Amino acid sequence: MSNVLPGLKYSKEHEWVKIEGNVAAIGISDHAQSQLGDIVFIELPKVGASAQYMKAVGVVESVKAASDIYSPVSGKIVAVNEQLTKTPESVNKDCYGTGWMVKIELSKPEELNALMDDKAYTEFLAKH
Amino acid sequence: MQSELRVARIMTYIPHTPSEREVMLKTLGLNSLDDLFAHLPAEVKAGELNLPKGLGEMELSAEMSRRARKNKATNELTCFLGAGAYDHFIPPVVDQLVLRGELYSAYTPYQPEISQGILQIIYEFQTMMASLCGCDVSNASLYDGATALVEGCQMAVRHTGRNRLVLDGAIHPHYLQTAQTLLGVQGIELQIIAPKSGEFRSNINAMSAAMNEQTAAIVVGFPNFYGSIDDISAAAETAHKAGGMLVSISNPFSFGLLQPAGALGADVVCGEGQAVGVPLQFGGPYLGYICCKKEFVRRMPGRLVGQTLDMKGRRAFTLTLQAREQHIRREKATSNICTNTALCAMMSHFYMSALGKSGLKRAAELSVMKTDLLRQKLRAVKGVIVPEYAVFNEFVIETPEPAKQVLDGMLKAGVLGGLDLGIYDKARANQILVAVTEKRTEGEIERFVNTISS
Repeated sequence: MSNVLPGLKYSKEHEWVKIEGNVAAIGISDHAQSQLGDIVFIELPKVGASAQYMKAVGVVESVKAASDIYSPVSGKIVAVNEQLTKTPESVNKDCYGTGWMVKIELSKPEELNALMDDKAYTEFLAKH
Repeated sequence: MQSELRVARIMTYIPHTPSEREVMLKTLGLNSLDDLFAHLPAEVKAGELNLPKGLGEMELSAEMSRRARKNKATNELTCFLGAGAYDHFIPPVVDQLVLRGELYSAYTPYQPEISQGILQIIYEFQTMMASLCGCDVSNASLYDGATALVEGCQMAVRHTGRNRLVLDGAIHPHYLQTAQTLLGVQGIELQIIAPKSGEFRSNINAMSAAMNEQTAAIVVGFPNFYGSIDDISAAAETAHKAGGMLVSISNPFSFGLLQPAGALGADVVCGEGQAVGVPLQFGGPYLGYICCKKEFVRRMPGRLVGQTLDMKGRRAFTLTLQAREQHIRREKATSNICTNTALCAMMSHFYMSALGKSGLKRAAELSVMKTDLLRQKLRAVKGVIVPEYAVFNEFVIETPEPAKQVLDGMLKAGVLGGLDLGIYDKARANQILVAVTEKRTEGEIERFVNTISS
């Protein structure tokens, strides 16, 4: 049973979103990291680049596969977790903490309404 | 339709029956199989073989040998023709090793890890190429020089997220055409900068001036198509300052002697590797290669062999970083290249192993010295102009008569004098591109001079 943290929003592509004022921190869920297996490389966007709702902002590569990270919100990239280039395994070990990936300044906060809360995401995982 | 039916009757293993073909042609709205290929220029079609019916194997092979003798091979001529394919000496040990059954594969084998021997050879080939080009990594090889150029350009476009390239006009015209075709359809903007009028050196200053923050890379020929060796480190500096890259299209044989492009600041070094161990073999298959700095390895196309340990802790070889590739990343793969020219890469490996570092250096030195000797002698030939610029083993001369006429005359005397540059540019109809390898003897160089004077 994978860990779903309360207080976060989740996308159907298994990204989590943590709202801090007008900025959303984004990572991938525990379910996603366990499905991918050992993560060996993460490609992140440049600070200042723009993110679009449900468009790829990066790539997570594991020993099994490479998958896009979809941005659950639109806006401007204000920070990326540079540590992940050296320690991509943080995503496996602590996906909701040191494994965060990007921070996006929201341009369309209403997009958050389309995301799931922890309860809805838990149900979503049970069905899929 | 008639010839097609005849083929179908003789070669009964062709799975489609004549009636099935007719249905397919009808669906396509065509009358004959030839209509399907009507868009191809006539000169590239093989045409009919005009063989009599029912020849025995012995008669047929005699007939084909007779026809083959119409071709003149470089072992019957004295070859000063280069322009991307060079007549170097290849020690016979290369042939002998390549013919071994367990290595005789055109491509990366399926279930590659079963073929540990081939993977080890490719791994060592990569190590040698990377070291020769002054880079950290080489892939397992690509198809040829022209597509290697395209792959190098795509790496820069993908890495920088920029859609514009500044290209050296002194890159092989065929390579440039290939780049225009393959990059053009992707909507990538190319600015091609020709050498200054009357010059053969790459126009580094103009290329640097054209570099900006919307440009992915400067792509330079080093040595360039005309044999010129220019200071590409200036281009590297400009490209890097603008947040872009430098891609060098190079003949790796030259790095036996020259400072490698990687050491001069190129981020990607790629091109045609035929000069390093692959025979001329009728123009192909050849050896595309691509090397880069470590930070770009995930942008690299094609196959890459890595070294690892097996379950019992023994040294082993495996394909690595495959998440870049088509079978995993699908439409987001770095390239649609999903194999390599394994046999040619192996030839190159055996060649480099046989010559070693000092042998490669000596072969390159001899090529340069002999090039210099021929240039010197030609300066004394009345009517022939030898433009002055620093070259590796290839240079341009200007002749009083059209190059075609001069070269035809030389060919009659058994000398393949070089490439008529008028083929690509009418303004260059009196220019010949001449290449000299370590194989050319002093006597042969003398013959070049004598035949061009007569």
